[in-house]
Amino acid sequence: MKGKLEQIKKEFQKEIEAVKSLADLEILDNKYLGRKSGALTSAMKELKSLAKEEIPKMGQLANEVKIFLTGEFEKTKKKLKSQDQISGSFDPTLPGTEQPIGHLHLVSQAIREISSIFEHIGFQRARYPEVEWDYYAFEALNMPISHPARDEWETFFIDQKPINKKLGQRILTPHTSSGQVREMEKGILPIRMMNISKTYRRQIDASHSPMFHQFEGLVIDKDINITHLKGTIEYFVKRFFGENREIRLRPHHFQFTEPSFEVDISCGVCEGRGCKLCKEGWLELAGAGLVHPNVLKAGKIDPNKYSGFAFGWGVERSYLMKSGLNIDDIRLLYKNDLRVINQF
Amino acid sequence: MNLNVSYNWLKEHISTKDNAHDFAKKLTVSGPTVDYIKELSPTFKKVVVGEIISIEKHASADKLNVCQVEVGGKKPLQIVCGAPNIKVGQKVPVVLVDGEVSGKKIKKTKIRDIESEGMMCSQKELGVGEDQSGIFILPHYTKTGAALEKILPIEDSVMEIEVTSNRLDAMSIIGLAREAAAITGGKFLYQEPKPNLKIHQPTKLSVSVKENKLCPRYQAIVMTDVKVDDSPLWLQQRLLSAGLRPINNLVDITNYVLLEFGQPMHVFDYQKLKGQSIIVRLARKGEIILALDGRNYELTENNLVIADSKMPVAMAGVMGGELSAVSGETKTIVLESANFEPISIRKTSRLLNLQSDSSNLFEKGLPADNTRPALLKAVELVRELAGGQVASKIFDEASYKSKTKEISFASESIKKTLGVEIKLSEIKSILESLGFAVSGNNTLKVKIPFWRANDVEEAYDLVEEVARIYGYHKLPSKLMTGVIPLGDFKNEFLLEDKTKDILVGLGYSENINYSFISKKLITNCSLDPKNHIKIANPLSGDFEYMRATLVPGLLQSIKENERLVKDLKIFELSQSYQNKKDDLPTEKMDLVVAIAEDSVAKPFFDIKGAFSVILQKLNIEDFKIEPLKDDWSYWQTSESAEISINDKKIGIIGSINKEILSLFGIKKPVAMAEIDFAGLTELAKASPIYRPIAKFPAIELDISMEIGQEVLYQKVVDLVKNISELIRQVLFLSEYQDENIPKGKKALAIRIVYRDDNKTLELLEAQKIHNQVVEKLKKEYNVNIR
Repeated sequence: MKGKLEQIKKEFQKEIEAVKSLADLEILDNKYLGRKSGALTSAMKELKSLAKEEIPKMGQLANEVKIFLTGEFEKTKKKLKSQDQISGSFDPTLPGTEQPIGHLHLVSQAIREISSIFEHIGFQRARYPEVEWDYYAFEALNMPISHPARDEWETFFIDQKPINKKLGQRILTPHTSSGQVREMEKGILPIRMMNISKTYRRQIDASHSPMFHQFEGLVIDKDINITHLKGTIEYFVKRFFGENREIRLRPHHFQFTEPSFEVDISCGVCEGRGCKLCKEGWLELAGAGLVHPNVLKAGKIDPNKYSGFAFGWGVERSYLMKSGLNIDDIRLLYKNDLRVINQF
Repeated sequence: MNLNVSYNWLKEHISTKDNAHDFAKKLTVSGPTVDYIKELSPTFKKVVVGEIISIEKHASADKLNVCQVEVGGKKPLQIVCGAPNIKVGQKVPVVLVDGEVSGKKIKKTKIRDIESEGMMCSQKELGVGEDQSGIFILPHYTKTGAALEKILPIEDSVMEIEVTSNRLDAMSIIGLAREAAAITGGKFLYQEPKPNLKIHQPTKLSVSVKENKLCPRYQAIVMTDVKVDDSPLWLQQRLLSAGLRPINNLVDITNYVLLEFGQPMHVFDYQKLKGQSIIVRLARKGEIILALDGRNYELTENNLVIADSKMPVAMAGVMGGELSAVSGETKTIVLESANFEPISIRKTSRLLNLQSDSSNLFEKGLPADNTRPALLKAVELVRELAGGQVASKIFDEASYKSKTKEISFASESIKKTLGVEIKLSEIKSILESLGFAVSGNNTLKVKIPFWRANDVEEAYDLVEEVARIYGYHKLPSKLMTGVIPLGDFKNEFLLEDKTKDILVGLGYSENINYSFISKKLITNCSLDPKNHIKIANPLSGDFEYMRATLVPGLLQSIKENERLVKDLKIFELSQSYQNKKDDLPTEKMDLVVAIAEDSVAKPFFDIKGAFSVILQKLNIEDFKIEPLKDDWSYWQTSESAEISINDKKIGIIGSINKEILSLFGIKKPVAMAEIDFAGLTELAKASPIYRPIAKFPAIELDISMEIGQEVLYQKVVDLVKNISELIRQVLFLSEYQDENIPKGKKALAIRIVYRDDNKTLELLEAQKIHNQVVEKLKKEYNVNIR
């Protein structure tokens, strides 16, 4: 019996050294320790037939062999498992399975970001005609037909005759401000409106696309003054461009606001010291001002009871300024080259 | 308008201790914006005045000359020079050997074998001006050998200042100094010039204005004994800093006054004025004038001119004539300082396509009161710099009335605008510093000075003046208080964003095309340009019409992208413009989804699938789809279908006509959905319908059949669903045709879901209905069960 047990141990040692895989180990396990016909199992069953005095001794020996075998199995199993992880076929660095993925146009992304910031302070989006009457784009904004300031808006005209004198010609709106008097005409006060829309001007070069987007805020209420304009724009600038950016209101002149400002933000590159990208540390961003009393009157609002402010920005310009995206030709945004769109 | 302004010049009229940058900052936040500051400092060392004694051609280089230049040393220097504008006798700046210019050290050198001992330089090289086309020619009276930095006052800061179009008064050195004094608190030093106006040799001139409306004021004076010469360097330097080219002392004086007072002037050679007369009149049709720019202009009755007794000698306020211009021989001159009506100047300038510094100012509407101080300054300078003597009275043909406007306003309106209180004394002192005369207390009476008469019209204009000088930067930032306005809430924006997100999630990329479209794209899509809105002044043929559908734009995009991107899936959600005769067009929100792929059948169903997802997410229960019956412009009728919801037509899903694709040059088949998105948003529901989860299990039984290939799947579904209330759903499994299926038939497999809400359905019961279904299908469509 002793010889047999030792033989089992010896053979086992030889065989386990040759084992290369967990599957082979399984087979080996069965061969020696299998419940029905494992070599050691069978040997242990034979213990009963031994002489009585031999049983404890051989029993102990058989147990030792069993512990040895089990130990070796476990050791080998661990070794094989860790080997499997190193040299196995699992490669986590392969690319993930391709998922269908679409892309929102950069301008849509910008519009969302902008409108969500203004939504937080109670602005509500509205939409007005892009093909608009001269009246809403100019006349009602304190720019009568002969006013030279109109020249600054390189306007597209529609090839149709006016239907009446007041409304004048049909044009493509050159700015979102054409929504101001339309909003007032709804007769719902107070107003806290955000108009983001396509606008059109007769200019085309690397920094001008004949179609572009603007966003315009209009607030009309009792006791609105410049501090509210300043606070609103500052809130937007800090949320959109970053906490560390500053604004400054610079006196300017627009026919439909009084007083009028240009809004500058501190340059993000030189932090206000002055560099190639900015003007003495500031970047020009937008026009703004308190709504001109004549515009309020055009919107049937009593300028003695109500006051308001308005501001207008270019969407593309603001977003490119914020993101620092190096898009040197704005027209690229409307070429719909998917090699561009699919980057965003 | 942007002006280039010398800080040194400004400081002649305002006392300030600020450096240019601090000064600019203050100006910018309260008045005109200083965009940039250019520091001028000598970029040279060891540069002296030289006189060119001789010029000879370089023996071995065509474009080079060998010059002998006297610089006050023992002997002249030999300098090789390639500049085209040098002549013997000229005074020029010379960099000596071991000197420096623009950071370049000058050494004794040989240029093509000829020794060169120094260099002559241009304005640009010296850092004086922008001109680099030739050598900077100095006045002939400049002392040879003098060190340049001693005679050329170069140290300065030139500010590029943006003055808004309403502030004509600030488009001059004096106007800016007045602004700056009010803003910085510095003293405004300007005083009206008081030249000696004693007439030395009375010289005859007649001045008459025939068009009082177009010329409200015409001032002129005759001066004799003038000596036309180069202007002194300090004056040249002033003009150069503003971007003007020095010509001669008389012309330079008028330009100097233009810059300082913002009043255009003109100088005539008295001898060249026929009949010693000046007549301000309208041109006669066909009259021609040779202008100072060397070109002939043909005039019409719309153009105001200054004429002598025979012919026009200047286009009033726009440009002078060559034939009456001063020249080296001029001895007697007439100085003009006049005022012209802006619209007439604008018209002439546009009509002749001729703009000048003068016309740019006049067309904005200058005050007539401004002519006098400018003329006085010019007289002073002509006496000083050209030795001229006054030879006539100041002619003053004035038909205008000096406007003395007074505006009263309540001081509390300042608080209403600014949101903060400003002391009455401060309000008064701000207005006074700008030249307004103020009286009264709570209601202020403010007299408007002539130079502000055009832009200060109402009380709110004065409020703005006080506000900006007080300083917007001192105001706190606040947000609006009170109730947030509910306004006129539109959920269309939410639905648009949601739809875009769904499509992006499904792998579609968003396009934004121009709203413009060319005639070619319209006709390529078999559409009629007449149904499109036409732009009267398009930038080019590409932008001639407004699109009435988004389809052409997306086809164009597919063409551009099909070779670059595999599996093209794009969409656009945006407006199309539907013409209306007597109103603005309807701006319809459209959604077009497009796929360009090689397999033929699949794209349609991909798009239909995407559309179904959108409907589900917009909580629209169901839609109807039917094969397109009539021919539609760009659709392939046999592979297209019309969608309707609640009997409302909502769009088309289909393949694009092959001929149209080939007109666009598209190789792959294209399927699209064109949806009336505005219509869809009206049908969308805010929240989904909830159905409790079924309590009892369903039984699913399949049918596989052969059915006529013309029978629409939907017909089968409708038929089955009507058979029993226990039929809850009919699901599509497969559809195909192959050689094992009899001709004219197709194999169709469906799964029917049976369920009873009140009890567990027995298989037998379901089977019973299922058999009815089979019978019905056999009866109705003669199907073979497989």
